[in-house]
Amino acid sequence: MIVRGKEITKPLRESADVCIVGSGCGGGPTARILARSGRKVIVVEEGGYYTAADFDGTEGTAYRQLYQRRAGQATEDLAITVLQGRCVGGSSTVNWMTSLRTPEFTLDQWWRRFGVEGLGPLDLEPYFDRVEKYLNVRPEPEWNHNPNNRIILDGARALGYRTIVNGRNANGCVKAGACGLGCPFGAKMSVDVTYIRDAVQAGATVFADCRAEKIEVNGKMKRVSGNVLDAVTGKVKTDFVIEAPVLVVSASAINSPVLLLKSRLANSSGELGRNLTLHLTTAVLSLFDRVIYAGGGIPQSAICDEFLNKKGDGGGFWIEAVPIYPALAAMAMPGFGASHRQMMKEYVHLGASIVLVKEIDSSGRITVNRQGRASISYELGSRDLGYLKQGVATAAGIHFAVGARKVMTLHTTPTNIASADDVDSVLRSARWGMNELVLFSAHPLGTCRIGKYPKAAVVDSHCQTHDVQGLFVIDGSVMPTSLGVNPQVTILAIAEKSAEWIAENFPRRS
Amino acid sequence: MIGEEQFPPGTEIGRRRFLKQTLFGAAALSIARLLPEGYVYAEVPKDIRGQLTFFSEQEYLIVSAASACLTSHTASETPPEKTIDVALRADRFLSDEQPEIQEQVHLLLTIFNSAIVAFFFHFKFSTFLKMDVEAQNSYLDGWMTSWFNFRRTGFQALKRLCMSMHYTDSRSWDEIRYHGMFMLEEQQ
Repeated sequence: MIVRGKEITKPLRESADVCIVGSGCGGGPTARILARSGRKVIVVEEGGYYTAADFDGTEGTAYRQLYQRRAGQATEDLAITVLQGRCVGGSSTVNWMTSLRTPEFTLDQWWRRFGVEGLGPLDLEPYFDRVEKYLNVRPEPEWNHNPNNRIILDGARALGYRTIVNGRNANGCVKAGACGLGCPFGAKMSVDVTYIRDAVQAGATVFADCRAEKIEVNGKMKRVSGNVLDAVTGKVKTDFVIEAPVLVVSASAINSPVLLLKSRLANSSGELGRNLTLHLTTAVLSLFDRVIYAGGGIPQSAICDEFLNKKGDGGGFWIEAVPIYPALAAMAMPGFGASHRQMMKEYVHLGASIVLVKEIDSSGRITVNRQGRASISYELGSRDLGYLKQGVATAAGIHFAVGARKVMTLHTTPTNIASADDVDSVLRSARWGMNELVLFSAHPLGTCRIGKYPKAAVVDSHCQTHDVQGLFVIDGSVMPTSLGVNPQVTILAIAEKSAEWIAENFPRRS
Repeated sequence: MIGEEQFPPGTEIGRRRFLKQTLFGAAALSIARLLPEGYVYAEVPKDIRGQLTFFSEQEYLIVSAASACLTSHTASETPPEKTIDVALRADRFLSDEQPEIQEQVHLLLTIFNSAIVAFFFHFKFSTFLKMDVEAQNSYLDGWMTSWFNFRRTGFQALKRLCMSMHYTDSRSWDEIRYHGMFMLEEQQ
C-alpha cells in the first residue's frame, strides 16, 4: 500500500519489523528484500508519490513535483547546483538511466584505503548481474543514439579516444527524452515502479509526503518521528512516529547525515557529514549547422571514458551527453540579454556534453542549518580543478571534431571558442573560481562513509552503523570515495547485499 | 511540533554566509538595509498589485526590470498573449519557498537596487530601477563579472530565477523552436 500525505488526516503511529527512511536506490531494494522475507516493512518518503499519468514532460511540473528544493538545491555559496529526486523512487525517477557498474579500481581503493570487506568486484558481480537483469539494463544499438550522443561517439572516435555505450534501465522506451522529467510513458524502470512496487505487493507500506526529523534509540528499539507534509504547499499537516528494531536510513548523501546529526547518533568517528563528493560537473555547449535537438531522443547513451584514472591516481574525468531542456539551457548558457536570446533562438542547433570529475582532492561537508535542513559546503581541490579544465578542453575538442561552429563553456564571463586551435588559449585566460563557472552535481555521495574502522567510518561493511546495532545507512552516502560513474547501479547492488545481510541477521519479531 | 528542537552546537551554518562572511558583502548588507526604499519610478499595474503574495511592489518592479534585461524580452515588443510576466511567476514560485530562501531573496533585491552599492561599485549614485536600460545592462554585467564572490552569486541567483520563470512557460518555446519531448520530422 502506498499512502499519500493527503490521505493522512491524524497523527500517525505505527510499529514494524523494519522502518526505512527514503524510497530511492537505497531504500527500494531494501524494502523489497525485507518485505519478501516476511517482515513488516514501513517506508517513509519525504517526497510525493506520482505515476506516469502525473508526468507531462515539462520542466515546470517536474522540478516542482520531483526534485529536491524544486531543482534549486545548491551549495552554501550557490556555486554548485545539486540535483536530487524528491519523490517515491528518489533520484531514479528523474535520472537519465545511465546504468554502469562500479569501476574495479574504485572498489580496489575502498578495500585498500578503508578496509571495506565483501564489496570487491567478485563479491558484487552477482548483485550487478541481478540488478541489471531485474531492471532490463541494456546498451543501445549503434543506430539508436540521438545526434547529441553522436557528437561524443563520433568526435571522440575521430580523436582516437576510447568510448563506451552505456546500459539503460528501460523497457519499451519511446525515445522521448523526458527521462529527467519523469517518464510519461512508464518505460523507465525506476525504483518506484520496480523495487517499491514489488515491496508493496509483498506487504510493505509506503507513506509518502512524510519527512523524518529525528531518531531516538531506546534499547533495541528505534523510534523515528517526523512531519506529514502537504504535497502542494510543503506545510506541515500532522506528525508521525514509527517504531522498529531495525531502522534503515536511505535519505541520500545530503539528507541521511542531517537526520543522524540532528538525532546525535552514529557520529563517534566525527566523520558524519564529512567526505562529501559531488562528481563535480560542468558542461560545454556548441553550435552546429545541423539540427541536434538535445532535448529529444535517448538522453544519455554514450560516454568518453578515456581520461578516467588514466594516470592511475584514481581521479580524472569523463564526458557524457546531456539533454538540455529550455529552462536548463537558459540558466546554464553564459551571459544574458540580446546575445543570450539570440543563442536561445539557436536552441535546436545546440549540442551539449557534460564533464564529470571523479574527485581526489576536493572536500565537501554536510552540516545542519538553523532550520534543521542540509547546508552543503564544498571546496574544489587543485588536482580536481586541473582535471576539470582538461575535461572542458577535451569536450570542446570533441565538439569541433564533428563540425561545431562555435563552442561555449559555462563561465559566467562568456567564452566563445571559434575553433579547435583556440581552445587552449581561451581557456587559459578564463577564470575558474567559484561562481565563475556554472557547476552542477547529480551524484552527491560519501557523507556516512563505509569502512572497517569505527574511528574512521560511520558504517561497517554491511552498512550497519558502528555505533548503534540495528541502525543502518543504505544509500549513496556510504560510498567512501567518488565513484567515477553514475551511481545508481552501485547503490542498488550494495542495498541488495546489505538487505540480505539484515534478513539473515535480524530475526522477525512475529 | 516535531522539528523545533535545538541542534548540536557547531552544526549551524547560515545560508547568508556568502554575504555575511565577506567584508564587502557585510558592508553592503549593513548599509543597504539602513536605506529607505528608493523612489519607485514605475507603477505596478493595478491588476498585478492584488496578486502579489511575496514581493513588495518595488521588488516586483526590480525583478521585472532585471528580467527584461536578462531575457531581452520586453512587454512593449511582445503581443499581450505572448507576454510572460516573469516577476509575477517568480512571486508565485517564491511564495512557496522556505523562509530562509525567501529572506535571502529579499536581501539580494535590497542590495541589488541599492544606490550605495551602485555608487560603491559603479560610481553612480542611482538605484537599479532609476537607471536607463543601457545602464541597467552595464550594472548587471558588473555583477556578473565582478571580482567579488557575493555579487557573482547574486547575479547567478537572479539570472536563474528569471530564466527559469521565462523558459518554463510554454509561450517562450515557439521562438526557440522547442516542441516538447519529440523532435519534429521537419527538424530531422
